[in-house]
Amino acid sequence: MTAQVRKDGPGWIPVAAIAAMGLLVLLLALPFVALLARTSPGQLLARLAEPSVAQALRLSLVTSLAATAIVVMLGIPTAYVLATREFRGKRLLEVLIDLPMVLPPTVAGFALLMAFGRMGLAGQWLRVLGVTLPFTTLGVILAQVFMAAPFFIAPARTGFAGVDPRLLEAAATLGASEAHRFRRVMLPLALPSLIAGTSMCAARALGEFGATITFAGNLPGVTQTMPLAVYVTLQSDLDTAVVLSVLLLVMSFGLLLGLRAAPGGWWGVHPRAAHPGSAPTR
Amino acid sequence: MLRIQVRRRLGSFTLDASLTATPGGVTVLVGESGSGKSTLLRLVAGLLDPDEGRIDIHGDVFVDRARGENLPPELRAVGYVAQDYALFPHLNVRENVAFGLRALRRPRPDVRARVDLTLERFGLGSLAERRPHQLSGGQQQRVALARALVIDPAVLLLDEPLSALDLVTRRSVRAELRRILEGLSCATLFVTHQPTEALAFGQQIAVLEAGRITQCGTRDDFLRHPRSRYVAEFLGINLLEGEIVERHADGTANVAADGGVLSVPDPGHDGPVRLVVHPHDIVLSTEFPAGSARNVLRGAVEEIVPEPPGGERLRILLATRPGLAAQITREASEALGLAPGIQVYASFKATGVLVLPG
Repeated sequence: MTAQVRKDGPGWIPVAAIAAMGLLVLLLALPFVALLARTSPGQLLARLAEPSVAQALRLSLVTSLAATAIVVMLGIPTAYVLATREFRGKRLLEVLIDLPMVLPPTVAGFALLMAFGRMGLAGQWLRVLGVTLPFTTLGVILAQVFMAAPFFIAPARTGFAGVDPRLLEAAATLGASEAHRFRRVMLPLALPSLIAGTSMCAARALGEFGATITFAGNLPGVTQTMPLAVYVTLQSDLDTAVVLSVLLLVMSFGLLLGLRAAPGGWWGVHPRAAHPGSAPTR
Repeated sequence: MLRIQVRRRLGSFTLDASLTATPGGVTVLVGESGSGKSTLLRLVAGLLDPDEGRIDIHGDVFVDRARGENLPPELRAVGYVAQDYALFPHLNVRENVAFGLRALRRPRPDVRARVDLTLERFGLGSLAERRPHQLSGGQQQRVALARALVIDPAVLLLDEPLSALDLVTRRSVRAELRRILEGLSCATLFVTHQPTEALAFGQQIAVLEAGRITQCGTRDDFLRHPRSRYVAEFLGINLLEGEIVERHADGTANVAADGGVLSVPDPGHDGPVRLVVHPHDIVLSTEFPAGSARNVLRGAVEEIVPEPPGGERLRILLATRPGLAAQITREASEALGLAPGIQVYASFKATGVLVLPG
């Protein structure tokens, strides 16, 4: 009897898995299909020229590009330090960096307001310097940086940590300083991860809604990015909402697809893979 | 002169070694895995710091714990070839070889000229544009050597340079590597766990056992005075421990060793001794030998091992008392019809036995 059950057991697993996957795919794909079914390419192009659509599109592109650039510039050194150094409070710092991934965006926006608002902790000093963040385009960028940074730092860190330490040792014995090792070995070998992180970060910044609307408000042309415009037009002009949504869908899809197209082994076979079983000895 | 005197703890393991190596010579560090040979290389390269001790070459101090001096690896004049070569996978052969000179900020035309010369010298000219994964194991090794030597190191460190190669390439690469190493002016430290490599490469051989150098000398020193069972084993000779039981007027003495008694040249003293018997001095026969050999032992054949693997000579391990290893040709073995379990007589002359103080 038990032998019978065992023999039949494995047969059920693929069937159950395929059923579960089918259900999930349906759940994920159906909304997108429904959205795309509401519009046609011709209508899409015609609506693109509309000032409200064009304005939101331009603002979204400018802010998410700026946010991504800031995240990459600050994130590369951060990820490098996290990947190569041990220090007190490292775990705490890692949690802090990851926190925006799971924090409700409205809470993040509210916290930003408390920090950088007119009466906020840092806001008072910024005002003295003549810088206003809330309800400005700069504020939108700040909200996006805050929310999207962990999406770059996590893969960048993994990428740096994944560079074979023996290559770095070889570089060191060849006379390369840490800066030279970083530029000529670490950076090129971690590049696929950095590119993946950059697209994830850009996609997250592009889709940012909650923190933006809480911290920067919803001013057309100033802080009303595409996700905000979708939310507003949903109540007044359904067709514009559809066009904006489809645009966002296409851009996000493109970013993630581009990420997948970047193959893992950009540089071909790794020397470690060429000699399996060769382990370092004492 | 490269002078090493270091101590380093790693968990429950401690490396405690002193060694000098001369420029233009190859010093082989041989030992089983876990004996500390790679650790010693990493200490010289600066990839690991000693707890105590000093390493210097021609008076240039790499590290001196007592004086608080410690150069990082990039400032030490070493060339390091890792076990799996660690070639940069994103750079082609030319860029790999040029890496050190560029890191040292040599002028571009110089770099180009030196790299071209080196590629030519190592027979890599036609492979210059290839990536490491497009190379065979032997070619990868040559690139790693070229990359390490192009910066003119004072010390060359080779960590098991042949172990990543398959058997067929290993044989041809070994001859080539010997030729390259012979022409070098730097001090070379060569790590291996293979006694045959140690004997083939080392002008000086240092044996590491459990973090200590138990014997250091030339190949002849080793053959004449093997100091431990491990050394004897890797030299492929019989090292027996025993006690003088009787000394005769004819200049021979009887030694009790492992349940048997052997006749050996009288060392001139009583007490414990160690005996060296070379396997090729032992004659095997299936009948009691008629000759003049004073030592005749009877026992079963335990194991027959070709030497080198697949080679013309056979190493016959015998369950005699004491146990012995004999070496005979394949032809001789076939003539005797040797196989595991067959009883044979092993005979050797008393004068052929080397007696060392115990």
